[in-house]
Amino acid sequence: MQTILLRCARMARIETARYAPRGGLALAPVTGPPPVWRAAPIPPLLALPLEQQAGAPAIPCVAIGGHVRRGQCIARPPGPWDAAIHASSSGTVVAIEPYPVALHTVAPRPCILIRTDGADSALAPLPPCDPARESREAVLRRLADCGVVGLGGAVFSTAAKLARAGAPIATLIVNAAECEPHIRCDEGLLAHAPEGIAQGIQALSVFLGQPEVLVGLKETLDPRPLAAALDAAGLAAVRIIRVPARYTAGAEDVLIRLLTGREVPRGALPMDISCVCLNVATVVAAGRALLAGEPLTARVVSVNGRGLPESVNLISRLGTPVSAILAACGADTGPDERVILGGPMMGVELPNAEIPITKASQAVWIPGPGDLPAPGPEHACIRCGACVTACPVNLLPQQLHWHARAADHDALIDHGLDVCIECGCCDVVCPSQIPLVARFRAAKVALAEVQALDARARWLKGRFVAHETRLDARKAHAEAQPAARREDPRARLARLRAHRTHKDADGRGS
Amino acid sequence: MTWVMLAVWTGLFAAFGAALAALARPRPEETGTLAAALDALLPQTQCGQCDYPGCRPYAEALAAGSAPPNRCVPGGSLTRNRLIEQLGICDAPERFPAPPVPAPTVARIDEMRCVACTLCLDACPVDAIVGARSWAHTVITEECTGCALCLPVCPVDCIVLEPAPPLHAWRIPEPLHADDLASVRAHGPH
Repeated sequence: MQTILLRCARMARIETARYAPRGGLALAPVTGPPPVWRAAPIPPLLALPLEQQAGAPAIPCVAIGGHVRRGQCIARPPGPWDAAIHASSSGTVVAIEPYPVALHTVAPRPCILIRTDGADSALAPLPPCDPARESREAVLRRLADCGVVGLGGAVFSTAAKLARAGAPIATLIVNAAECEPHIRCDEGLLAHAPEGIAQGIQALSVFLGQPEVLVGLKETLDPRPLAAALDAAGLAAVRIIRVPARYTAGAEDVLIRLLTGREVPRGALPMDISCVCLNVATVVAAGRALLAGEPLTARVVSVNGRGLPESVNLISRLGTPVSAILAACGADTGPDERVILGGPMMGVELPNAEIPITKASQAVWIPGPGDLPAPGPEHACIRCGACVTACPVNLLPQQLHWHARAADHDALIDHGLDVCIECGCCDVVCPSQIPLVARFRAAKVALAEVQALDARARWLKGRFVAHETRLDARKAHAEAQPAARREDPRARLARLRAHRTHKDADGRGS
Repeated sequence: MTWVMLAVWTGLFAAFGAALAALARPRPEETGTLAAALDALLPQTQCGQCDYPGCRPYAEALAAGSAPPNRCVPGGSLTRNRLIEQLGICDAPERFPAPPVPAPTVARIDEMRCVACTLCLDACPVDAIVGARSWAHTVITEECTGCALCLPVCPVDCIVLEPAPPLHAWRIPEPLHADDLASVRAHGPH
């Protein structure tokens, strides 16, 4: 009887989202057995970029030739709550130099290169940091020191995110919507590490003042392991809400709307409507950092696609080259194979399989021959409005397209270019095959440049005014002197010469 | 009667036309604000390449209607378009071709040759040169606009213009080229 009651209680917590998704795409679901869960071997060389997706580059705190151990901080960022960078295995720092990595696009960026020694010796973990006892600053410092960032792809420092939450938070949303096909890392965590998720939820809800906790779970995923782990951790109040397996359901603002019906206003953050949304992997990392004192040195990478015997969730050290990940999954790929870091919608095609994975790398995908066809020729916009219907963040992509072509920066700001999440839905539905997102990215860069120029002009104006004021003041000062002291330069020269001749004559006389 | 009516109407139209024309023209008391608005659109390099002795004098000439809107060299077509918009000129782009924007530069002082005469300190409109008499001068690269006004005053010609570093660090990097893979070959596992 008790078991049945408990089961009823557990089942009652699993709900379906009441709010309908807006826009987005119903992409073909990836079918097949659940992914295999295993750890990747440690590669001979790790490349850890000093820049993360957001924030200023970190400053290395190790020397070339120095020995590092797993979990040792190797670079500290300048921002107060920015996430630190740690060695993901033990070895020797061989270089700190530009190395090709995938940040925004694939390009050489400053990296710390570590030649691993295979021993994988780790630093002793930090003492636990219990949010119930420690101060708010101590918890945030721990999260930043342990390098915890948003592992859903944004790589924004979790400490910085939580530090912005001034008022008590009403709702903590755990994002397990995982909406992009061929990305299955959250699925692996839900199946194999539900206890870690429960611990993370517990630690974070204590820190945030016991908010309502909602887990946004993709409807095709099994909620039972997580529900069982939450029960075991005594988190009976957590609600698991199943959201449609529709693309962009996992975008932060979209998920908040799906689960709570509340809209994050433009230019505002989820904090402003008393919400904090964290990816499920971030919750696990935060829990480990606080309770076990472990820095973030590895992440789950979902490896899928053609030529792979099975779908694999690989626990990979940060900085592992994609080639090593593919080899660990038994990929039978030729040198000409296309490799995508990320999913089919937002991923980056890699020119080279030596690119290392970062905290942002959720998946490695090898497209089949029919996947990702080259885009056809671009035609004129026929104003069909399909992109408007598809846009999950309520923009008018066709208007943005016109304004981007006209470089009308004010209109681009008015139409919310900054709101665009670059999800690519408009690209997919456009019957004229206009590369809209590529245009918007370029327009964002152009807009940022114009804004930087304007800011510089205002700054220079201030300096120019200061310069003029200084020269005027000096002139006024000179004019205020008595006329006798304002000697004609020629007269002054003559006087000095006469003085000198006189002195010389004196010298000779004595 | 008809002629009288025609004359009255013509007079009325002429009066309204004259009134509208007078209203459309910037009034003397408005010229100051118009000049300030135009000045705010200029890049404030104070370089004098527009043949006016600074951004504000050019803005005042624009407001008075005595200068064309395409004289700002560092501003290029962006500044020209903004000036045209602010001035309310209609058929402008064809009439006022934008000057080609030269690559941004910054000044550099060869400190070994500098005689520390301080002449360039006052010549720099944005106080981007530090130094004192008998102390070698140097340029604060971040503040330098590359206006070249310090070059002619230098008695020993020790100032040169060099390509400016990129304006802001946040920039989506250029895609990878084959040459960039050298570091992979040097360190990558084989």
